[in-house]
Amino acid sequence: MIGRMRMCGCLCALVTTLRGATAAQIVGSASGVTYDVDIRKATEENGAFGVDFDVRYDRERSGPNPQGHHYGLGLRAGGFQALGAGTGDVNEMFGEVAVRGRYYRSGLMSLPAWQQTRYLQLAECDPAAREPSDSTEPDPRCSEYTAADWAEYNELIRRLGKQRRFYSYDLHYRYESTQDLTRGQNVFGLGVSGEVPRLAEALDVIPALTRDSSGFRPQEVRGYAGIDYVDPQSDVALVLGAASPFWRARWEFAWNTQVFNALVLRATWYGHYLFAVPEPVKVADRTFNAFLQVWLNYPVTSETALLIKYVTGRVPPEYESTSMGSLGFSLTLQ
Amino acid sequence: MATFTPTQCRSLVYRYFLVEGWLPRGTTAQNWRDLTIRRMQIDDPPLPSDQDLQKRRIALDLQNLFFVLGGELESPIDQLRDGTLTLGELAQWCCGHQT
Repeated sequence: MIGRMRMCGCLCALVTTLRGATAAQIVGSASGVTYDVDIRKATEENGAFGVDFDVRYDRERSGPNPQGHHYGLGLRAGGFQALGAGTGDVNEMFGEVAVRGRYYRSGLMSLPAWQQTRYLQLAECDPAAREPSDSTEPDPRCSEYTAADWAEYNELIRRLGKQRRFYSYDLHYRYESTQDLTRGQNVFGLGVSGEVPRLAEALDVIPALTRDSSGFRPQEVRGYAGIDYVDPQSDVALVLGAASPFWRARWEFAWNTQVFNALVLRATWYGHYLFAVPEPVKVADRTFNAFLQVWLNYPVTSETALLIKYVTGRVPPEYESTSMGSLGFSLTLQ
Repeated sequence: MATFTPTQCRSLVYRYFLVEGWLPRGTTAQNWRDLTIRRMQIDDPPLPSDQDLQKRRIALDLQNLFFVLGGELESPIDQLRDGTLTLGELAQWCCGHQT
């Protein structure tokens, strides 16, 4: 079993208000089951402390060649249980079963035997791969390799990323409910996730100016988009005001980069749009709900970090429009 | 299918993370083995609806790299989910799980 625990605490409200900071977190995986239990304050204003949990299991059937379409099954349960009164909304707990597929293609395809032999000889001679305790003399042929040979070896790896196509898609059923499971809604939908090309380069223009050149390269923005048919079992006051089925589009984007060489800047944008909603929802202006989070961890020691966070938008579960800054610190124990 | 030596496995794993730009500042050819998965900020922050998107892509990249060189690797996705695993341990796992 693999696991880690992270314990965090909050400082006084030095900037504005202090919300949404993690108090303790346990993350791990065993036998294909991945779990994440997080004791934290709810994200919204005046949010209660509670337990945020996510347990998932997924398996994929694949052969030796990873290229092409492959399929698998995923099971997942999660939610937020406030220690105290909940909000009564239906997006606090969920269970999900999904059939997942993924497509992977790389510009690096099968190589002729002579090229395989050559690259494996280079790998055998790679000075970075030698064990520090290995005192045996390297193969004399290794000294014959020039910088051009090593560049060619790196180019082989680089070809993995060229013309690479990777995306996931799923067909899912979710049951979303209140904390006490007394009210819920059935959700049928499909979604697709992948890496958004080029966007990270544009977002990284300013962060790149703050750091020296190093091996680090910002990765692509990740995104998920889905469409759901939502069938509430009863009146859901905070969202609809009527127990009638409706369609919901939802999306998620996440990204990180490095600033000032050592800091990690993270950002997420989550949202959903409700189609053909009843009049009360339109009047409350809750057809389109989205919020942006940006946060930065400043390492103080190897185990502690200062957390600076900014949230703006309509934050679930109440979807009240809000903009707030947070300040806290985290302590990681392994 | 060929079976790669531990040195070849270490080289392929190191070169992959190096060329793909995952290695944080301060990582060298001497200390890369001690780098943990968590420090590379893979899937950080996670997408709620696809929390392992990048990890699955990396697992497929590594499987593909072994495959095109004539080897065959089990999916290292469960190893990539363990933030405390080091790259040295990942390379060792890859070497021990060629099929």
